[in-house]
Amino acid sequence: MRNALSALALSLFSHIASAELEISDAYARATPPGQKVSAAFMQLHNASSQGQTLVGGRSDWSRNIEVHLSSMQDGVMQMRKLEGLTLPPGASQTLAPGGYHIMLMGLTKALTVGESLSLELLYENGEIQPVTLRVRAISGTH
Amino acid sequence: MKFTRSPFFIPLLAAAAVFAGMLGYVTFFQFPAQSLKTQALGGDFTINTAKGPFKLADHRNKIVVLYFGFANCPDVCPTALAMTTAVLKTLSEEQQAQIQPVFISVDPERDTLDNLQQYGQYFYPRLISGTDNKENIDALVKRYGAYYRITQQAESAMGYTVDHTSRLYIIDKQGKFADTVSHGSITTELATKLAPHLQ
Repeated sequence: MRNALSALALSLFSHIASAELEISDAYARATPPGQKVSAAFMQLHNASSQGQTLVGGRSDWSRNIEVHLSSMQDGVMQMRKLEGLTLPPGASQTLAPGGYHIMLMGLTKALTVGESLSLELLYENGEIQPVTLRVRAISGTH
Repeated sequence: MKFTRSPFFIPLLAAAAVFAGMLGYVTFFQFPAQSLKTQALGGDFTINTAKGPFKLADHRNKIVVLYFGFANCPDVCPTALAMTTAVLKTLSEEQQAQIQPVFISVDPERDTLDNLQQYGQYFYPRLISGTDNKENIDALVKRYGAYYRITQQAESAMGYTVDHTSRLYIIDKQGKFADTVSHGSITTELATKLAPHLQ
């Protein structure tokens, strides 16, 4: 009986987990010495039957984590915090330089190439999803 | 000889007046805008760096590649600097020695000279990074046809952000403003635009 309950709990849990976004190729940019900000990028896919809204994140190595959008307006580059990034059911979204990113502010450590960092993404509905970020060198393309 | 008024005199006079007006408009409004583009942009400047002042006038035999940004920028500025230095690294050592890239922060409130120095070195050992007081930065940005504005972001932990043009300015070996490369064209156009100035 206990096992059955555990199995039920597990299946419920995995059902909840599958309601979150599918995340692939998640990485953060390495930081030049002294820089306290960085950005994380990834591919998102909403395989669930409901809309998912990402509102930010948390970690023990970055004080503030927000969803941001960089864009070019009349030749001027600007970056803004978003209240949330919503993916309708079935939608995919790439977070990449020059567009959407997870903004990492108040870094308490330098991000060095090759290391792995854990981060929890926060959803509007209160769900939390752990993500592992690989730290990559800053390049012109990623 | 007696002046006789032709029946076309008045319309001719009116046409002449209209033409003169158009010429005046072109001369006063359009020509200065053109000359500003080709002649007035650029010029000598001095900024502060952790290693002392950087004076453009001291670099007459170098091609200076200028970029305005800020170090707290996690996305656009590092991408521009990474693309720029990646292009420079494809050139021969002899050619790279002729080029002086300069990163100027338009956010002297947050970016200290030491931070900027470390920041620049991370991208490229030859990159000189610095800033100056707001008044000088504003004048410099204007003279090179760049633009930035501080935008308050009360709802974000950033506090404020800096909207800015992301573009490279190429200054030739005589210190003259020679060309610009837009952010999206750095990878494809920078080498081509540097080529005529290289030996």
